[in-house]
Amino acid sequence: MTTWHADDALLADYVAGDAGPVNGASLEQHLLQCSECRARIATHQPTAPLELVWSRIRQQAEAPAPTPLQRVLLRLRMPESDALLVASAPSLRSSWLFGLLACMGFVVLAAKLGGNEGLAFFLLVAPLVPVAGVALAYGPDVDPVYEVALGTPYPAARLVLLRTAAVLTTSLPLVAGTSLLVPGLGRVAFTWLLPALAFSVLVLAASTWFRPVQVAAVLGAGWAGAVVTAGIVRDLTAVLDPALLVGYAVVGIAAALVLRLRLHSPTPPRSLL
Amino acid sequence: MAGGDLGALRLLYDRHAPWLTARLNRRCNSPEAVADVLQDTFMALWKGAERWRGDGEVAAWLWGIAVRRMVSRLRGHREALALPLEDVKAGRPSEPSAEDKVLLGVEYGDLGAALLRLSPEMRAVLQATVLDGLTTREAGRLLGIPENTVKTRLRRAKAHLRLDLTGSRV
Repeated sequence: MTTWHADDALLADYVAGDAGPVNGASLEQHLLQCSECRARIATHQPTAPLELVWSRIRQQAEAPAPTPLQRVLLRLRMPESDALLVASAPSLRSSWLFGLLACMGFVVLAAKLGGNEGLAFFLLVAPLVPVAGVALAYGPDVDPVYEVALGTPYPAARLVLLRTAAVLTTSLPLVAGTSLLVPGLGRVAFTWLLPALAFSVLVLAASTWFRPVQVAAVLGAGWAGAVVTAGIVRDLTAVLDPALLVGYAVVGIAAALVLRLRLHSPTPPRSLL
Repeated sequence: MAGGDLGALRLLYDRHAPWLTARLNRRCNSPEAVADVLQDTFMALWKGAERWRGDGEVAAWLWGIAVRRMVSRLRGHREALALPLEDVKAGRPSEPSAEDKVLLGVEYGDLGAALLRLSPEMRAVLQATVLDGLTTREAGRLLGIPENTVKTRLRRAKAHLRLDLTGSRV
């Protein structure tokens, strides 16, 4: 080992960025070998920024390990903060997904047991699953980090849309898979998607005035009433009549426009902020 | 240490964060980027993503992690990249000490002057590969040039230096 050590003037120049190219490069090679000079360079370095970085490191080291969903989102190159926000939505927890699976299991079971009941169950449940998921994705009633989000300079619209997208990508395929297992659905196996999407957007738009859970409850009750009434008066599939499907599409598009207007208005809706 | 206690990490941080910061600061104009790279480096240690194989100096190993984190952090933000070998004027015209001269081999071939005579592009390649220990591929990513260009410039830079130092041309 060499007995050469950098003098204080060189260390100070180096930290200040004034050491010059050749002296700087030579000191750098020396620092890799010499713990004494490494310790002495610390006295020339301001401590405040270092402490700041250390506090960030400690925070990150002590943070809970990411959930499986978070890891998937991070793998998909979503920023860490977005992944955390999306994954903390109640309707994206594994308990919700298991509940959803069980629910779909019952629908399939009912369909296997009796002919018409399967269709009725499916019609009742399928369009409401995404709606419930969207409603349970954010808002003061369900979100454990709602208050935190309120105090954070993070666009609420982004949060809501991110979570909605995540909810729809998990629940829609599940319901669609169920529809393949239920016999005798006919075109209902596809047409349920239209009211499901329309209602989801409607919940989002209405939640700029009301609480999303309340909106979803009203919508759900209305839909259930319509299905039951249709079953008694005519036949179940009347709620997915072609004429009505056009109506759902119109409602969905109108709701999307309203949502867009509300989110981009200069005074954003309080219920979303 | 991976997954171990925070005290050990703090000890490593106290010993190595200051000089790592100083060295990163000479390569990167953005204090935020340097702070991010420092955080990334120690988080990589903490998560055990990078294991010390027990050979050589811890410092060299840490620098290896830090400089690679810097390459990925600066991708797409090349304006933050600083190349200290370029800022010739910033250097104080201080007379190098006798030890300096020996250390640098300045006495014999005047490596310093020879380095400064290289074009900035060649010096950048020389620094990234020879001094900072990046592969030619990583150096290419850092400097935003193809790997083959890095190799060509490196070869030319070495040839220039050799020519300069053996005195065939001055």
